[in-house]
Formats: sequence, C-alpha cells, structure tokens
Amino acid sequence: MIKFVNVHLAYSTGTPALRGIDLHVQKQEFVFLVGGTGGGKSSVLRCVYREIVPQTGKVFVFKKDLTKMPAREIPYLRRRIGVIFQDFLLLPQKTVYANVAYALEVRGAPMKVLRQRVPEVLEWVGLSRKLKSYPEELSGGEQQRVCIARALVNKPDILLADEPTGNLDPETSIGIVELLQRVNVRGTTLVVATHDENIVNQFRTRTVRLEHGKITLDRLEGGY
Amino acid sequence: MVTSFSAIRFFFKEFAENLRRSPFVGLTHGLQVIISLMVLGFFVMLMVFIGAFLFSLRNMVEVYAFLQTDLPPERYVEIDKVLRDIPNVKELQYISREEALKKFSESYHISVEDILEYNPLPPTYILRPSDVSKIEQLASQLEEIDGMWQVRYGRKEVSSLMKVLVGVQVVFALTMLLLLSATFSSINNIVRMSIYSRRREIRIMQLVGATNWFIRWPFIIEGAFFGVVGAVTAVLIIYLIGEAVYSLLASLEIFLPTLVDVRMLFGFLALGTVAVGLIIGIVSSLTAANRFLSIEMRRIEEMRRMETAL
Repeated sequence: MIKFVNVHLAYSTGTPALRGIDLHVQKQEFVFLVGGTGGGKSSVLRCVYREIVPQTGKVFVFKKDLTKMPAREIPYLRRRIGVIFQDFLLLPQKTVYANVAYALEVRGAPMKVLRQRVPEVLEWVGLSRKLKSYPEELSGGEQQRVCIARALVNKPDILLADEPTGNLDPETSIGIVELLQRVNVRGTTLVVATHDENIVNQFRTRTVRLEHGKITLDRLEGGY
Repeated sequence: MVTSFSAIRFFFKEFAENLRRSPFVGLTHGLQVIISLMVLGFFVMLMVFIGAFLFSLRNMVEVYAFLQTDLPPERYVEIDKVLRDIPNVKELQYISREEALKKFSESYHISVEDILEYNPLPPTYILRPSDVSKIEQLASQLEEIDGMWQVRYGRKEVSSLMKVLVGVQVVFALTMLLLLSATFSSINNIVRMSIYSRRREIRIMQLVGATNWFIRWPFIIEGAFFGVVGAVTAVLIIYLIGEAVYSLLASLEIFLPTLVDVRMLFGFLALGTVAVGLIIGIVSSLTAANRFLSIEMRRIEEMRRMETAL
C-alpha cells in the first residue's frame, strides 16, 4: 500500500528531514510513527499525500511512484487518502454537518450522496446529535471526531493522522485512538504519527521509531 | 473542470460566501472598477468623436492638378486617361477652363476675361486620395506627367493632420492601457483579499482532493461578477450623463454636428465595456488564484520547515 525506498529529504535550507528511509506498510495495517519533534514523522506523512517530494529515493502509494506523479494527478491520489491534523483544521463558521459535507462538495458530489453519507459517518463517529453545532461549541475530542468524519466521508483506503491526540487529555486521546482502531478494522490502512507514549503502549500495534530522519526501530508487536 | 450541477451550485455558494465575508473590501474595490470603466467609457466616446472629426478632415484632403493651357487636344485626352488609371484615387473631378472661369467670376464677382481679354485659367483635375498618408507619392506621380503645369495640395496641413492623428492614437492607446490596468488591479485586489480570507478552506480543499480548477472557479465567478457589475453600472452612469448633456445642449440650442451615430456608438460602447469588464474580471481573478496556489505551496513548505526546526 505504502512503500518508501531509500528516501532522502531535505528542506530548502538544507536541513535534512529524512535520511535513507525504507518503509513498507501493508494493506489494512495499523502503524504508529513515533519519535521526538523533528524526527521526520510528519515528513513521512506529507510524502504519502504528496505534499512534498523527496530529493532522492522512491515513494510508492497504491503502486504509483509519487516522485514521478504529475501535479494534475495529486487531487485524485488525495481522494483515496484521509488526513487528520493535531489542530483539527475545521471551518469555524460552518456547522459540523457542513464541515464534513465540504469534503464531498469540493469533489462535486451530488446532494443525494451528501444527505446520505454525512449523517451516516457522523453517527459512526458518535456525533449524530451535534450535526448543527459549530466547532467552537464542541470539546477538543469532539472536534477531532469531526475531523475524522471529514477524512472518512470519502471512504479513503489510507488514513493518515498527524498527532491526532496532541491537543487532547489522556482519556479523550484513548477514545480517539479507539475510534481510529475501528476505522482500521473496517479495512482502512492507518498510519498515525504521535509522540504520546501511553497510547502507543496501550494499543500494541506495529511501531516505527524515527530519530533525526532515520528509522531506529520497527517493531511489529509495538511499544514506545 | 466543471462536470455537474452540484459543482456549479457549490461554486456559487462559495462565491456568495466570498461576498459575505468581505463586503467593504468588495464595495470599495467595486467602486474603483466602476470609476475606471466609466472613465474608460467616456474616454472611448471622446476619442471616437475626435477620431470621427479628424477622419472627416482627412476626407476633405484634395490634390489640384493644373494642366498647361497650350497642349494639343489629343494630349488632354491622353492625360485624362493616365489620371483615371492612377491608383490611390477614390474620386476624380475634371474642371474645364470655361468652368474654372465661371466659378472664379461667381466667387470674386469679376470677369477676368473682360480685363485680360483671354482666359488664363488652366484645365484642372481635383483628386481625392483614398490613402492620405500616400498623398506625397500621388503628387509626385502627377508632377511627372508631361503637360502638367502645377500640382498643389495642402502639404503642410496634411502633414500636421497626420501627426495629430498618430499622436491621438498613441495617447488613446496609453490611456486605455492605464485605465485597463487600474480595472485589472482593482478586481485582482478584491479576489486576492477573498482568497486570503479563505486560505483555510483552500488548504482543506487541497487536502481532500479538490482539483486546482475546482478551487479557482468561485474566485473566477467573483472576478467576472465585479467586472460585469462594474461595467453595467459604468454604462448606466455614462448613459444618464450623456442624456443630461444632450438635453442641456438641445435646450441651449447649440448645434451639434452629426459626425457619428450616437445611439449606435453607445450600443457598441455598452457591449464593449461589459465584454471588457468580463474579460478583465476573469483574467485578473485567474491571475490572483494562480499566484496564490503557487505561493501557498511554498508557504506551507516554509511553515513546515520552521515547525521541524523548532
């Protein structure tokens, strides 16, 4: 599903972000990317949804080489990948329903699909009673659920989460990761970048540690 | 590109949201568009009038070819044939010696023949060139004809007229460029402000797989809207002011020469201004959107780089 082959990435200032990364994520796998700030976790995710292109090496997603992908094909790649951020990236002037529907609208999906899929996914993440609420009326955990619903509404094959529990308390964080686990059980490949030790230790799944742009650990049974 | 009714509905919804978000920015820049297009409209009308006047002067330019008086009759016939075959002549008028004398007597109320006891006036041809800029060439062609006595035309006046015409065209082009740039810049600013206030949405759009065209469309609609509304308002103001000026001149019984059909001119002007507004609206919004989309990618890159460095 995702394959990195000897990926080297440096930002415009010359700061290296990834140094010779080799990584293979199978279909329906649940992987934690762990490590300190600046380790390269976010850079790996950004390479997967083709926000950045490494200087050397290859990144394959859905068997397509993203380093050679023309710009016009990027939107179609992203339609198959859901992304969740630490800061939620919700639209404050739109309701929960409108925030989730937005992801379908920008693809030109018909109203019929919106009316059917948005309540369905909001119910699935446990927000069926908050359809008309605005983000500021929700707790951090609920906002992250909206973000997950928006990422899932397009039925992605891969879900990427960049510090999804970074702004949440430990109890809410566990609830969010449980939700992500359910997403994974339904068949979606999941890659979660986090530095939350408790979560990684609690949800024993494959864990890849990144330090200074290098993979220093790749353990199937998990653990921080 | 646009494929469905849902997509079109979305574009208009987003466009309405853009208007709602920054109404004052829209209003102030909208006024700039109206003023620029209105000045442009007035300027075009003025230039059409000046142009029509100058062209009417151009049409009055004539070349007088005086023949010698002592040529054998068959030579006159030959010269007539030569003159009729000369290119760049749209009108040719022959004035015989007798006609010339008659006209002279009528104009000055003197009988020259009675005083001099002969007719001194030569047979004359009046030629109207089809291209005034080539009048010198025509004159020298005439001067080379055997039997020609003198060729006259307002050499100095024609040269001045040509210079004025070129000058007017240059001023017209430069002013048009300036006014079109002002309109472009106003609409570009409106769209840039809209894009800036919606950068979060654009980021989400990009992440969930919206194509760049899908992102651009609401802004293109916004640019076209301001271009067309600005143009229509400008045309209405021009019409109202024009009507008022005409009524005023009519009430003062001032004679207006009918150089151009004013109604037809206004019709063309209205259509032209709306078309210009629409085109500038689309082009300037596209420029703003394209610029943002390319800069935004670099900005995200930079932002992430800084996050990584921290």
